[in-house]
Amino acid sequence: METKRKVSIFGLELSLDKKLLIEMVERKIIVDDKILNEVIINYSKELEAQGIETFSIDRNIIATENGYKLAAYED
Amino acid sequence: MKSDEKVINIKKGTSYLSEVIKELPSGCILNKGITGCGGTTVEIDSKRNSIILVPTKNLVLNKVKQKNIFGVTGDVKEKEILEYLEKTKIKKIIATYDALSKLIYIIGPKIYLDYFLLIDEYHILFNSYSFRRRPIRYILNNYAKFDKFCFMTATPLKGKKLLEELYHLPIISYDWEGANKVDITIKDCAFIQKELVQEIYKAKDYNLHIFVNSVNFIKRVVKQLDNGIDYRVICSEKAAETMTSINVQSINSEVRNINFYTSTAFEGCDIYDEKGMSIIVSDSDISTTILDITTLVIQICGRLRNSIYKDKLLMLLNTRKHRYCGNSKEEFLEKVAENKLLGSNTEKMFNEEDDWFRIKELRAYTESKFGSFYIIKENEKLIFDNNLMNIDLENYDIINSIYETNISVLNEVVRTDKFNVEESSIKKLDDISIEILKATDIMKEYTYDELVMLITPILENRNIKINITTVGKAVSSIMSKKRKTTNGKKQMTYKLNLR
Repeated sequence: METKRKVSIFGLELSLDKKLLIEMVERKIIVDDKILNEVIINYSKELEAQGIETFSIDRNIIATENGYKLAAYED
Repeated sequence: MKSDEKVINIKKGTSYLSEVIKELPSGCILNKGITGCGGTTVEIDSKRNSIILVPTKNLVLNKVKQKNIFGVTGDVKEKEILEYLEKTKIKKIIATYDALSKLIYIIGPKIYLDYFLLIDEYHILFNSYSFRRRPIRYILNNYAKFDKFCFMTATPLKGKKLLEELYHLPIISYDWEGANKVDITIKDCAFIQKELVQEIYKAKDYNLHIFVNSVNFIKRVVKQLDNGIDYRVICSEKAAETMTSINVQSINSEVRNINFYTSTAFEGCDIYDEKGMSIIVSDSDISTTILDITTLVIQICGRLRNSIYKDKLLMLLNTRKHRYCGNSKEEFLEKVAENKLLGSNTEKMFNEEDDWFRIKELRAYTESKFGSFYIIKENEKLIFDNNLMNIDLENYDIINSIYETNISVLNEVVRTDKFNVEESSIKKLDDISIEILKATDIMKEYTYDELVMLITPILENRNIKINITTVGKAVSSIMSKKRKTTNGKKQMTYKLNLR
């Protein structure tokens, strides 16, 4: 049976310490996940349409003018 | 004066701020007092890491050319910034207002402790708030995270103009003994473009630097000029895209006989031309050319650094009706109050909705649907923005008080205490107005048809087509009108004289 999982976007301060990002990779919060990656890319496009610049995209996280945005499963 | 404003006198004979201080003060608004005194240079030469935010890309390029400082604009890559940071001991970065978020992202949290943040020409935060709101709000929301910061200008924001995020900051003002006063000649013109073209053809022994914040106005004037006229236009990259067959140059290009500048060069840029004369054009028909005398005029006066004419300024303006006119102050305030009520109610109602509904609805909303001029969309919420309301109120005052008549321009200029305006200069009218006045019986009340008959030969002599617009323009600076009932019939009558 097909299971549906909800994805949410979380916001983090742009001035976030880069060490914390490494920690998030270690704790598998930043992950290689095709769906999450697709969600965050679409979200980045949405922001771009509003004139908000994305500085970089890495797996399921983007750094934007408005801070880091992270896609994650709600469960 | 604000109760927490500290005034520091600078003795006669002092030319630069660096002769008085070696570092800018922190945690305050700094009023330099005059332009061209090297306030930004003090920070560039200080022995600490600095991030200097300026309003335009041209200003970044202008300073980078003069000083050993790293410029960050939209097209500078992250890698280039990282390389600069790595190889430089005392880091000096000059960037546009829009680049602060990028710098915070690249440098990380240590930016707040390791760098002094200077927001240069900070009055622009107010003047450009309505159309550059996102980067400006980013600065306003983040500057306090810096351990050391300073908002600097020569034309501080006061009263309603002080953005609410800056209300609490103390002001330090420098008062320069014996600062040069600028002689301003004001010409109120019915045909502002024609007047400017005449001034251009007069400029044989000197160069003209024309400040006007409308690319379309510049285009129209340039098209009227002979091919042999040596000119350049300095404007933003975006505006340049619309300037086909116009000689658009960078701010650092060689000075020409005729130089046009849009607002990209109004503030902070240094122009070196020993024979340069400044003209400000303010056409109240075009909302973007409306200048707040107390800020932009002072700024523009300081652009020509080494000219023998740097203490002189010609202002061409018209005092005709603007869209803010036609409403009394009471009527306008009623509209503001209505918008405020609507705005704060919308904010409250909308933000009480659950996240899913609110975000879904918000994405479908455009600003025109908010129902209030003062509502903005920020972080998936609607926010009632007091600053927008204050800007609206301020614009009304600028149009109605400053531009209503020549006299109030004079008063406003005198109020700033940096200008000498001769009484006679306010009587200066363009040639057409003078000719009309000569043909006029100043006691007579004219009907519209009589007015047209009076003006027609004068306009025809100048090859100006007669229509309702040209007639209106010709008399706008010398006319007063009233509605009168004659033989039971209501009609408008016109009197022509020096108001």
